[in-house]
Amino acid sequence: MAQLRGRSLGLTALAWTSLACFAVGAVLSRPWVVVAVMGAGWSAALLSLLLLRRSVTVPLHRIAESITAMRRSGRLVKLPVTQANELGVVAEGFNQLAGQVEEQKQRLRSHIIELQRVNLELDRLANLKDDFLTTINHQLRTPLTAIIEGVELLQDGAMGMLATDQLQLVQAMDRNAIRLASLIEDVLDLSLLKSGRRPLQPAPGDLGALLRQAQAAWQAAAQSRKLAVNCGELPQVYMDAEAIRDVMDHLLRNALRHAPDHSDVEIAASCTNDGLVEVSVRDHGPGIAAEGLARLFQPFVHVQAPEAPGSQGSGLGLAFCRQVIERHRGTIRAESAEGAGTTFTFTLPVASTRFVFQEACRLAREEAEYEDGQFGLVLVLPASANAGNAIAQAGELLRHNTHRGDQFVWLDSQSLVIVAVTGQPGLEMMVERLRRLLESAHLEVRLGVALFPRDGGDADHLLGAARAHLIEQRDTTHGTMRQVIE
Amino acid sequence: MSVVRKRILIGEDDQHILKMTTLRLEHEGYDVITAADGEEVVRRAGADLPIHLILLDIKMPKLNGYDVCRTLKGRAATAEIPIVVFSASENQLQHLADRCVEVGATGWLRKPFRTQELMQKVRQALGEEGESDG
Repeated sequence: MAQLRGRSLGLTALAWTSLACFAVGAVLSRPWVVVAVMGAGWSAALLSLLLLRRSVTVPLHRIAESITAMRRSGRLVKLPVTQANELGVVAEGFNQLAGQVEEQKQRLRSHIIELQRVNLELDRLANLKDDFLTTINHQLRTPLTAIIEGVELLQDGAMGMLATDQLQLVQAMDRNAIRLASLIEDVLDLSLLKSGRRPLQPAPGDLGALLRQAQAAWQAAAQSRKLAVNCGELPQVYMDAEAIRDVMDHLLRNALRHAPDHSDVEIAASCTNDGLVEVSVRDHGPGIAAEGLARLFQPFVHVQAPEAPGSQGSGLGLAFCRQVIERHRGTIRAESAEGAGTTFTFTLPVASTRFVFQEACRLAREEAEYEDGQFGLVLVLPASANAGNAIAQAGELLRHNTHRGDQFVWLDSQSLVIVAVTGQPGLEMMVERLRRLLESAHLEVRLGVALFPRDGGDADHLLGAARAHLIEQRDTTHGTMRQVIE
Repeated sequence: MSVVRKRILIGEDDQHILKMTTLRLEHEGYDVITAADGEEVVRRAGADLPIHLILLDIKMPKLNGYDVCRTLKGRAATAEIPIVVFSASENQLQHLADRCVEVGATGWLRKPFRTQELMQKVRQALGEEGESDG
C-alpha cells in the first residue's frame, strides 16, 4: 500500500516536471533548452523518488509487514530501526511499547503461576485442617471417655460413699466433662458441614414422621416436661433427613435446657402459601432479650442462662442449624420476649415437582461452573398414549443405570428427566447408551434432549427445548441422534 | 441375680478406659476379662469360654474391631457371642451403625458414652432388659 502510494507520488512529480519543461520551452522557443531542462528535471525527480522510496516507503512497508506477522502469530516482534527520521522514532516508540507489553505479559504469567500455586496450597491446607479436626476429635474423645466413666464411678458411690462436699465437686466435674463432650461434637459437626465433607443430599421426605420420631426420642430426656407434636397432613418436603434430624436435636435440646419443670415444649408444623413448610419449636422458658436475639445464630454466643446450672451448650448448635437450613434454601428465626418463652421457626421447601426439577438444574449449573459450564437434560416420555406402564419400567431401569451424580426427577407419573453435568459429546454418549438400554428392554419410550446454555438459560426453557427435540425411540439411528443434538 | 456371674470380655487398648469399664462392670455384678489388642481378643474369646458378651473398641493394634468381629462371627465356637462395639473415630452414628450391622455386631456406642448408655447396651445384648437395675 505504502509502496503504491510512493510510486504514484513519483509519477505525478515526473508528469509535473515534464509539463513545466514544455511550458518553459514554449515560452523561450528553444528546443535544446527544453531538452536540457527536462533532463535535469527528470533526473531530479527520479533522484527524489529513489530517496523517498528508501526513506519512507520501504520502512513503512517493513513496519506494516511486522505488524501483520505479529497479528498472525500473536507474538510481539521488534521493528527494524534504520532511520534517524520520524519513522525511526515511530519504530523505536513501537518497540518500546512492545517491550513494555511483553514485560506485563511476563508479569501476568508469573502472577497466574503464583496464584495456581497458592490455590493448591490452600486446598492442601483445607484438607490438612479437616484431617486435623477429625484426628483431634478422636484424640479428645478417648481420654474424655475415661474421665466420664471415672467420674460416674465416684458419683455412684461405686468406689465408696463420698461426703457431701466431695460429691458436689464430682458432680461439677461430671457436668463439665459432658459439656466438653458436646463441644467436641458440635465443633466437628459444624466444620464437617462447612468444609463440604458432609455434603447435604436432599430428597423428597416425610417431615411429619421425622418430627414424631424426634419427639419420641427426646421424651425420656424431657422428664417432667411434656413434648407435644402438632402437625396435620404435611406434603413431602425437600430435605436431607439426617441433617434435619440433627437440627431438631439441637432445637429440642435447647428448648429442654430452658423449659421450666412441668411445662410444655411444643413442636408444630404447617404449610405456608408460598411452597414452604414451617416448623416451630416453642418453649415456655424465661425468654431472650431483644439484643440477645440478634446474635443468637452466631457461633459461641450464649444469650440465655440455662434452667439447670452447668447445663449450658457449646454455643455452636444454632450456628449449625442455620447452616443446614440455609443450605436447604430455607430460613430460620427466633422470636422471644423476656418471660414469654422462645419460639424457633425454620422453613423447608415443599418437594413439588417444579421445585425439585429446578433445584436439580440449579445444582447442575453450580457444578458445571467447575467444568465447562454445560449440563444436559434427557427427558423420557411414553412413545404413545397407550404405552401402559412402559414409563414406570423405564424409570426403574434408568434409575439403576444412571451415573453417580446424575439427578433423576419424576415430572409426573408419565414423564421423567435425568439431569447430568456434561457437555455435548457426553450428552450424546449418554443418550445413545440410554437408548440402547431401553431398546434392549423393548420399552417404547421417546427421549428428548436439551443442553445448557445452548438451548436455554433456565429449567423451564430447557424442558421446553427437550420437548421440542423429541427423538422417536424406534426409528432413531446414531446418525439422526447426532443431527438432533447438533 | 443368679449365682453364676456372666462373663464379659473387653477388648480395648486404652488402659484407662479398660480400667474404668472393668470397674463399672464388676460393680454391676459381672465377671470381666480383658484384652489389649485385636489378636488377644480373638485368642481369649476362643480360650476362656463361656463368654456371654464382648465389648470391643474399633481402633486396636494388630487387628481392628471390625476384623475381630468378622473373625469371631466366622468361627462356630464364638459366632453366637453378642458383640457391642465402641468407637471414637466414626463421625456419624449412621456410618458406625451401618458398618456394625455389616460385620454382625449387636450394638454400638460412640465415645464418649455415659454409664447409663453403656449399661443399657450391655443388658440389651445379654437379654437382661427389663430386669432390675442391680
